[in-house]
Amino acid sequence: MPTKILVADDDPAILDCLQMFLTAEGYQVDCLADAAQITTNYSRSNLPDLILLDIWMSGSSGKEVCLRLKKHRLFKKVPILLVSAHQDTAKIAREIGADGYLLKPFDINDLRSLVKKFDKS
Amino acid sequence: MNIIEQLKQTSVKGTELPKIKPAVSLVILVIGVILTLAFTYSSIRFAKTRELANFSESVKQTRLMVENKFQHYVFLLRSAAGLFIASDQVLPNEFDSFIDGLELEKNYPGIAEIGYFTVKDNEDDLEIEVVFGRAVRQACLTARPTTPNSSKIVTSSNLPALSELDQALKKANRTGQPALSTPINLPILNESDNQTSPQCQNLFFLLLPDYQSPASDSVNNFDFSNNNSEPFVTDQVIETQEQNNQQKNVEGFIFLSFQADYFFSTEILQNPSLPVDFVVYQNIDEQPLINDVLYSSVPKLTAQSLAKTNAYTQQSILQIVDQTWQVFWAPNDNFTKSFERNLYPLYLFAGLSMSFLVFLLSRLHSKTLTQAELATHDLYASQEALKRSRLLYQAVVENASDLVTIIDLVGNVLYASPSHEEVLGYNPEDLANINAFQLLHPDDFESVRIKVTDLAGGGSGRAEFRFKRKDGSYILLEGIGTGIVDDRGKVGAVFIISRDITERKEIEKRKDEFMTTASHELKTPVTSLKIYTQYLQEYFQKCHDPVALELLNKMNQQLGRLTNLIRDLLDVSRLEAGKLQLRTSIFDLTKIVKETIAIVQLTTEKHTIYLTSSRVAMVQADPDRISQVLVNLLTNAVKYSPQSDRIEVSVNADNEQVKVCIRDYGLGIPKSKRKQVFDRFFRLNRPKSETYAGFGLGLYICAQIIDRHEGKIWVQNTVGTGSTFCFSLPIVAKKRKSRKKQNRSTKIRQKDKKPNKLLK
Repeated sequence: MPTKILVADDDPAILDCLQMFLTAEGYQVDCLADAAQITTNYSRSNLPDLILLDIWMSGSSGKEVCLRLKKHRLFKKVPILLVSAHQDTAKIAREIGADGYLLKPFDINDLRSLVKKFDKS
Repeated sequence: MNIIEQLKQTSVKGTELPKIKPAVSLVILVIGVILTLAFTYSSIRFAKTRELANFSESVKQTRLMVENKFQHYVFLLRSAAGLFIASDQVLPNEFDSFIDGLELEKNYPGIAEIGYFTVKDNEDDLEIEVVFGRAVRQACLTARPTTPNSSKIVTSSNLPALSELDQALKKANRTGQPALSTPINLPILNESDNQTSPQCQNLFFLLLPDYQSPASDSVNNFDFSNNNSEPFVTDQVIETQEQNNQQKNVEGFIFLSFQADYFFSTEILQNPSLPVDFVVYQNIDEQPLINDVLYSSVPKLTAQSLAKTNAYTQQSILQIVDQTWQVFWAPNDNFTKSFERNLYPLYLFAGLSMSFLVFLLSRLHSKTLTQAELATHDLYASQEALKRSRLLYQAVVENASDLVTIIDLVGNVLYASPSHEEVLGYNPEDLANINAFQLLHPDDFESVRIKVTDLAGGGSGRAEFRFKRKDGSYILLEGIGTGIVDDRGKVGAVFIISRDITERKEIEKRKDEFMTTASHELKTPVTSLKIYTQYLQEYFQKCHDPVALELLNKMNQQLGRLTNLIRDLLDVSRLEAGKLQLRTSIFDLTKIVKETIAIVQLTTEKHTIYLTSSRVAMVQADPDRISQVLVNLLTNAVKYSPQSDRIEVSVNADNEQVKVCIRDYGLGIPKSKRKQVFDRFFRLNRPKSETYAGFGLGLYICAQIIDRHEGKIWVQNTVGTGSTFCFSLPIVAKKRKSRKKQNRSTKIRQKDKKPNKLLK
């Protein structure tokens, strides 16, 4: 079973290109425009292996989602990578206990190597 | 009244000074001098008139005195004649007692001799026999040599001047009136030795005929009637008298002699204070000669001194019996002394002094007045200035929209501008009883209190704080406080200007939000573009399509530039807001330079970047930002030297600082523009064909970053083409380095040095 990656971003273009790239890399990719829906859409059976989370989304704040997920019974073991254009992404990532971060815009090689570290298989 | 109107009315200049005229004082002086001169002149004129009158009076009196004396003499002569008329035969002792009774010396001073003589005319010899004679002074006549027959006979032979007497004898005989002889000079003969002694000069004889009965013998000898040599007086009365007289016979003459000198000098002796000098002349010629002088009251009279007698000289005629004398009068020392003529210079001096004194006083007064006016003027001007400055301050303070507050060091409000009511809702009365510290937000209380207390040492300080309004809400204020120093140099109060910065803060916040949003929004499409592009690159690499790959490489490069531009914009806005945070750590600058060169080298194929470095150069800085500066400078070097293929980088460190220089061989920068290149949005104006893309922010950001690191950045003079950009950073001492390495946060940041890495 391929590694399942959940991409949560409010920008459809980002979702589209990430889905295309990660699918091509051989991952199973789920896209979600609203991060708040993560907990409702997933259960123990279909839990993602990795979450790429934008911290600045319309609707709900990526920060809050991240903090909530880290306390969540099911999701607290799922690694979260912050993917953001925010200047202080690194700082925020440390603050909210994210497992890594990517600063937009990034090179696909950086993304590839980072994702590979969390590949279960 | 409106403060502004009052301000317009007060003048900085004050009032105009009245002009002082020194000419007035001068006019006073001139008038004083003129008045003095006029007064002195008129005084002199008046006094001269008075003197002249006094002089004339003195002359008149003296003349009267002399004439009176003669009258006395005539009276004496007549009384003596009476003696002889009363008695046919006068005995010698009778005459003597008569003369004694007269007390001649006392009552008739000046008489030389008095007596009675008979005359015999013997053809060519005149013979006088002195019957009686009393000599009071020098008795010239009775002292004549005597004949054997008579002891008192004087003849023409022994008295040569007797003929001169003859004229008077004849006249007296003819008129029967007293006659005065002309002056006779007689030598005095001493009976003892018959020697001639000093003459009896200017001796006058006053004669009065004594008639006897026609029976007398001696009359025949002296008959005047036959003598026609003298012209008769035409007066008919006198003629009648003469006819009567002719019937009588002259028996003898009563005579009286005096010397002019004695006659006049007794007068002078009797009146030593006579104010006049006079000179008596025998003749009455217009130009009297010194030889004609009968008498002069001036002891040593010369012709010159006579001519030089002063202006008051007066001339008069003195009628003595039947003789006429001429007298010249002149004021003497007594006269001069008796007049105020000596006072004229005093008058003049006093008058001039007074005038000058008045002049001085008026000048002094004027000067004092001027000083007083100046003082008043100054006072007025300073009051005006004070008023003006007060109004100005009032206008500034009371119309200021900012809050102007004066508090003491413990927060009591000493003054609050009217703007408080509008901004905070408190009116001045409310604030008078308020402690400003109590209205601070509890979170800001301590920091503000400490800052105010710090001002006790002088100086000024700035603080942002929340302040409770009257309605209970808080307002964000920014205050700048300055210690007010009192007379003793102690800060007793703090002057605070504060303003509401709520709105400003809000705008700043919105701007920040906008910048963050904008950069995010801009970066998002770039991110997707980059992913697509790089994905395509990989795709075409697999497909071995070099053309497409080449195009995609260029696309990727341009995307990188776009990313940098977006980052620059964000950086500038952060720099402006002072929000660029440095994550400093201690590292080797040479190492960073090497790494950056390696990255930039990848972007250019034409250029080769050479590095010369001396040693390890440890600096405390934000490695990302320093790297940004290096990338910027290197990219510029590549960009602006398209014709060359060489870029040189040097790192030189000493004990205090490390200097990094990047030299290219490109277009170079004109010397005049070298400082401006670090300005925001500065771009060199070049021909259109050579225009390069960019906002003109790169060097500005570099300069700002280096400035934040307390370093320097500049364009160095370059020999030949191209330009050299240098920057320097302070070297970290080893102690500091080790201490900083213990800092935990630093360690973490060192790990974060490279982005896009895992945290763990």
